[in-house]
Amino acid sequence: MAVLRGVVDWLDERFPIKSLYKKHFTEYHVPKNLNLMYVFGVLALVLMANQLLTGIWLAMSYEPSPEKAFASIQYIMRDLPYGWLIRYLHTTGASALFIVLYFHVLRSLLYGSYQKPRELVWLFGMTLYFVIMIEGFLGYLLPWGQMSYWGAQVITSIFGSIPVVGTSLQEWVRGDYFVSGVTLKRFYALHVIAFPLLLLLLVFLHLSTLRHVGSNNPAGIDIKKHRDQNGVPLDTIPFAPYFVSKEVLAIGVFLFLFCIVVFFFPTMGGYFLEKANLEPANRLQTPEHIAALWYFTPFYAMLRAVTFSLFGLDAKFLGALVMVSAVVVPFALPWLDKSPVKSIRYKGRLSKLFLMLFCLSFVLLGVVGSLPVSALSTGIAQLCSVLYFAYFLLMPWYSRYETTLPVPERVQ
Amino acid sequence: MKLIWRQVILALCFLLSVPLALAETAALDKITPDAGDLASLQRGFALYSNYCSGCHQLQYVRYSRVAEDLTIPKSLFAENLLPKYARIGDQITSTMTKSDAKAWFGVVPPDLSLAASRHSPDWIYRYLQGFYQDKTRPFGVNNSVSPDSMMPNVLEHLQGERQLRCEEAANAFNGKYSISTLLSDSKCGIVDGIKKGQLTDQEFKKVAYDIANFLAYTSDPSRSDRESLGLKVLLFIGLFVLFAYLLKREFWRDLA
Repeated sequence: MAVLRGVVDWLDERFPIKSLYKKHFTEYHVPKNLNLMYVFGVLALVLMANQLLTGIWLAMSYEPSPEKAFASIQYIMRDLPYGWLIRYLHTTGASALFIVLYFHVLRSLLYGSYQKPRELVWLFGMTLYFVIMIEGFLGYLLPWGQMSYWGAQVITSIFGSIPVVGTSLQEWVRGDYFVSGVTLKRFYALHVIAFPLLLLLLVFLHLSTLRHVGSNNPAGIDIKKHRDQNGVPLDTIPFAPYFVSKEVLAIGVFLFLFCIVVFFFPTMGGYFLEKANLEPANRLQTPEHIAALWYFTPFYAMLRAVTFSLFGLDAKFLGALVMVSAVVVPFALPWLDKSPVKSIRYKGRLSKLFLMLFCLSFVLLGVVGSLPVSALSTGIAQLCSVLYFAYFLLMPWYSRYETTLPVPERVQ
Repeated sequence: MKLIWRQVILALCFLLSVPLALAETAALDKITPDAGDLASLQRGFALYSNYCSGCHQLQYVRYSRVAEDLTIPKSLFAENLLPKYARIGDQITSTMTKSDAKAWFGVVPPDLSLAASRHSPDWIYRYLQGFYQDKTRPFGVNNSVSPDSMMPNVLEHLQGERQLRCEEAANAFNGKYSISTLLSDSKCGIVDGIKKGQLTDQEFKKVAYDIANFLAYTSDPSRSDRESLGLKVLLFIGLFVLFAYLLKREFWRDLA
């Protein structure tokens, strides 16, 4: 113990670890009423660490070339000791990260965590989500299976639908006239170097802005209004050890569920690992039904929902615009919400209705996005896209004019 | 009064029996691969070596791994199951070149390492039993599970010839409906042909099962390792959760 204290003191003289630990753990105060919805942030952090670590070991044995990529994955799965474990942790981790993030974002929508003064936390968080989506998309090409290939082919062809510059932009993105070995190598470089670095930076910004303004809470009460004689906000608990011990428990429970999937249902019935991707990529054979990975299906459904041309613009381009807007519009959320209260608990009926419709439409879009196109699925996708955007674009109106409930002064 | 009750019960039994009977016919095509049934896997590998390995490959699987997982002693394996051109650490490839395959069959026979995951073990089980005589096809046989498949029925001398028999109505729509639809609507059926095979129906089903079971193993060879390790990991995390809960309760006692 004395040795450890000596080491800490030696370090502290050269780097302020004691005051940093105090500032961010023992003397960082979080609202005492944080509920279960507040554990998804740390779960996302755990999963990002999992992706980073397993990714390093995968990269040691993976070969980014059209001739060897598919076979090297099978080498990892079969010949490399515990390769299957590393790869299933990575593939399950990717899907789990999106599940966790969707709950994390839902928490923000429920309790108005994006509102003043947390706009930057929201912006960095949305940027993180966007970058993680690109990271997932880039990584999905690497196994070089049929769905990897054709998924990349479809998504990169979206660039081609942009008027005037489309074709050359598409070639620039692919590095070739079609998705090829050049594309595979650049996706690999971006997936293992560029985007992970960007993600680290964004996680740092997301967390440091959060630490500066402090956590919101399920009641949306501004806890900094009431402080004790030392300036510590009332109705709070120190982050460490109280909230940390809760998070450790949450991580344990989460890992239990996560490992059930990893060890017993790694393909999750073809949703986490698609059956059609067990065939090596074949440029000469287009699959009948090109399915997006489940976490992209809501956006894929919006891309396919636009079946008509407008103002001389191609349907595909309009679909791409809708799809990109679906990710870009939520960035503006802090300025769209005009409500005097933060939490859904004290907002009016319209806010509750629109949020419910939003969640419902997102799930439905996910369902129809995973099905082959039919008249019915297109109809549902169109209706749900409208509801999705209505939540955001009508918010300035309904959040301002609805009657809200009074927010209590203190946490009950 | 009693009579009415009896009738009601009888009627209910009848109603219940209909879906049960339907489930039973569907269950005929369903199999449960058993990675622990080493005898079945060993038979499956022997069948694979005799009937499949001439054309198909298991290019991601190594002989040594099969010998180890199926607990076949290496010397016995090398003597009886290893082709003369291969060494035990090699991947299970076929000697047929791609250009020969194209010339002889029109297609390169697919690699079977992942076949059971790509389709399903049931699919392979049904496919192997789904051949029937069809003079219009290059090898004289067609397959009800994968219509116009280019594969000859290599197991014919075991199963015997099979004939497709359709109702008049089905013939009238010839070509309009796929054979699998006609079969599932029971407009057509596959019956025994003239030439009998060496095996009975039950014995042949076992052959198809063993091959499907073996391919289920090759498509997911880590399964038994994974599941046994998984139980230990879950036990560990379960204990961890217990202590994490106790720790949390201890800390939060201060706040009450």
